[in-house]
Amino acid sequence: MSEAWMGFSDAELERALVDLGQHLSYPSAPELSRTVRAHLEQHPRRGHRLRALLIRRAVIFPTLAALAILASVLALSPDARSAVASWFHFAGIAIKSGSSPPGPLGHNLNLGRRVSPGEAQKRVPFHILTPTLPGLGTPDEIYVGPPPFRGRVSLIYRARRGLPRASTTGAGLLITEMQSRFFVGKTVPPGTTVVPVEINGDQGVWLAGRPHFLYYFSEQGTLLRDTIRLAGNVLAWDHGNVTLRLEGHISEEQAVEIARSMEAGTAH
Amino acid sequence: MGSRPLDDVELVERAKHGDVAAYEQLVCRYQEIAFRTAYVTTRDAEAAKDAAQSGFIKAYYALNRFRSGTPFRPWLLKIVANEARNQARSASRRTGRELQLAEGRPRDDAAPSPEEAALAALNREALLRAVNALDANARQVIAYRYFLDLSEAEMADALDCRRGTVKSRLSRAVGRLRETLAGDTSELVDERVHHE
Repeated sequence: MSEAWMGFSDAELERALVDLGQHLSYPSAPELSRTVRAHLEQHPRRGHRLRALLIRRAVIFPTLAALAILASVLALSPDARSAVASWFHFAGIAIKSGSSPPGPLGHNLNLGRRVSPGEAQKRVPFHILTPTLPGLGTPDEIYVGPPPFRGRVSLIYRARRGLPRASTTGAGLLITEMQSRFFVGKTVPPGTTVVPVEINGDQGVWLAGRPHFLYYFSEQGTLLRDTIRLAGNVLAWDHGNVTLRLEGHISEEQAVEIARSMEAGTAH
Repeated sequence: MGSRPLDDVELVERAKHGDVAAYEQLVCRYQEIAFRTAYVTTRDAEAAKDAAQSGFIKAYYALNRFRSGTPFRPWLLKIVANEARNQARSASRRTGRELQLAEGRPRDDAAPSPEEAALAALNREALLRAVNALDANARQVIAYRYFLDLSEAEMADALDCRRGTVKSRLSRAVGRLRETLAGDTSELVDERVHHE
């Protein structure tokens, strides 16, 4: 056979290559236009920003909602004010008012593939942080995210004393870590409160109330929407180029305490 | 919007003025070729998707540098190809899955007998194995030219080289492919024996 190839003229080889191209299997091309459009609408080119704002009537209500929340948090304290102001500035205000996520939360957590602690660390390009709070122990399960959350690690802790069971799963605490350039915002249904917090020098936010989504920018600039799995409260913060979030039916103090205890090491 | 589909030039002009809906149409039009262009480099669907998506986003922000009236596709593919190279270089990305043959495709009309069809399939497998064994640059040139049917100008843009260089790179790549094919003897013979 290889001799046959040797005898092929350039033209024959070219024909064979064209034929090969017609028999190749490509993964089906993803639908990109909506995501790209969503990104561009949120981040218009300079000079088009005001226009985009005026054109997109849909943005006005969410913006009002964001401002209302901002106003309510600004009333809290000067510290809260400055933290929230800078956080929102950093995030570029991508808060959208929205309805609750559809479907039963936690029915299928869709966290990706279950892996061992060692494998989890091999599969992500950042150091996985795990809580070192005494009594919390080690994660019961670890998952590495499915596309498009390839670099996402999820640590699940079974419900136990101090970690009430989520209504839809047996999990008490879910920690998610993902390399993302920005932590952008979240949907804020009525009844959700937003409070700025500080985790070992990193800015974060405590979200208490009803279920919601979080928005991330992946390293490639892709806007990703991730669902809150446990339908509880959420603490989210950026640490370096990694966004961390902690969710469960726990108090702000508990969440912050767990978050502050998180250190790089093995997830064992 | 009228019923007549707008051409690229019109859509680009509108997008330049901030019309995101017009740009969305361009994305719809070229997302498949953008994705495939990225895929032959990354050989990983997720990485290719990310490359295509971020290529589209970057192209939009760079529209003010795009010369009106020139073809949009090569310009876009250049950006996407560059993103794909970055993806493939990124240590965090798991690339290197191989291009694969489609399964269950109807037999070629050109193959008159089952034996010849089987031989053609065997040839394709061997050729693909050789293509997959090439280094990324050579594989890219071959894939752009023969698999994606990019024009010479588009290849020059996507490979970020001069038009004159495209031909020499292609000829070098085909030469390497021949060498690889020549080195594939034993496996091929085995397969052939097995098939016979």
